[in-house]
Amino acid sequence: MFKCVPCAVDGCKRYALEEMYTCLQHAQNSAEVLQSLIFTLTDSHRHRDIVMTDVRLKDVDFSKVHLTTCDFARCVFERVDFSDAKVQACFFDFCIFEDCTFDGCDARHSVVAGSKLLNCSFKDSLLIHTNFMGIDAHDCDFSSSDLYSSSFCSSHLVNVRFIDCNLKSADFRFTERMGVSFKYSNYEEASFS
Amino acid sequence: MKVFFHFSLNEYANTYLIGPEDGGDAILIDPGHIDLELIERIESNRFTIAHVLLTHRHAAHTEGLGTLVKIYDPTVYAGSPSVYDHPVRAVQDRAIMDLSGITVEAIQIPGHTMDSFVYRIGNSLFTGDVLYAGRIGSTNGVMEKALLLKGIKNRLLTLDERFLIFPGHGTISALKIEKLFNRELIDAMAIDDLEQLSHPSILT
Repeated sequence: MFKCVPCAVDGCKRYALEEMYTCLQHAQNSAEVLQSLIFTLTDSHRHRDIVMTDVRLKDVDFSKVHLTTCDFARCVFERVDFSDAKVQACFFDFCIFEDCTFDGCDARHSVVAGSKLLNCSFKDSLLIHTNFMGIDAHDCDFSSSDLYSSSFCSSHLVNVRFIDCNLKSADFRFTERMGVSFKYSNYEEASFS
Repeated sequence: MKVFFHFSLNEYANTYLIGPEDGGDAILIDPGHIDLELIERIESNRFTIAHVLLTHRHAAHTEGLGTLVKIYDPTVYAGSPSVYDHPVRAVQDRAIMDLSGITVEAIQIPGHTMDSFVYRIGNSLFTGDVLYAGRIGSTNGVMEKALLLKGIKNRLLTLDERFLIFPGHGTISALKIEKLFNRELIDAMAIDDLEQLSHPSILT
């Protein structure tokens, strides 16, 4: 489980980074600390319970990482590659994802709620029991993904494709949708009201 | 401490397995269905199920108990001791239990059923059918709904909004997410006086 140790700096509401006393913003040599964390995450091992919140990541290759119960809340991901990654029961809530790919990703039980997604691809992904509540998604593609029992409740979806997806028990109540396609998907088994 | 999710085909309920990093006595929350995958997960982590916590009495959350007690010898904790064939230790509201080194706080929130409990372990809330991602628990009547809403308002929404929610069905979440995006909850909490909601006069 997440350790959720508060940053040691008085008044800071962020969590301390993994094996540190402070958040990244209050760490000495923060650039080196961040590089070290990325290096750890991208090795071939499975990692769990890593806390890395409020971090900005750009052009990072997280393809094939294997992470369980990790916390990446409020991070900014720009051109980050999560293709074929396993990020199970991880928290990505209130993040910004721009030009990221999750193709072939296994993100079951993860939480992406409250995030902004711009031009992101989730094709051929395993997204069962994934929490997308309140997302603001533009130009995203979930085609050929398994979204069984996932929740998009209260989200804002613009030009989002759900082509040939499993939408059984998916929750689309209270969503605002413009240019959303459910072609070849079992949308009749999803909840819209 | 490790937490594992197990998805049951028995009414699509969630079972949670919680145990120490190095194996040993573990807690199982809501054994709706015990199958080979769950047994393998327990055994591969060198866990022994020493404690079972039931969030409420419904079969989707309890039906695997019969199979489980044939393999392990757990102490079962629940809100109503008389419901189950297996001996059950009654849980009291606000009880703090030390279950093999894992501290569990019991929070009684009746409404979905009268024996409904939420269990808090660290910053995690195992909410059963009290609160899900995007929904509040179903109830049989207006009185029960008022009880449920009052419980959620007074006992859950007062907690740190960074608390995580592990519900009995559906996706995991966090209190902050539910406060912002759970329209059922937002609409219900907009009712100024939940006491008024439960007053018998509204039934007429």
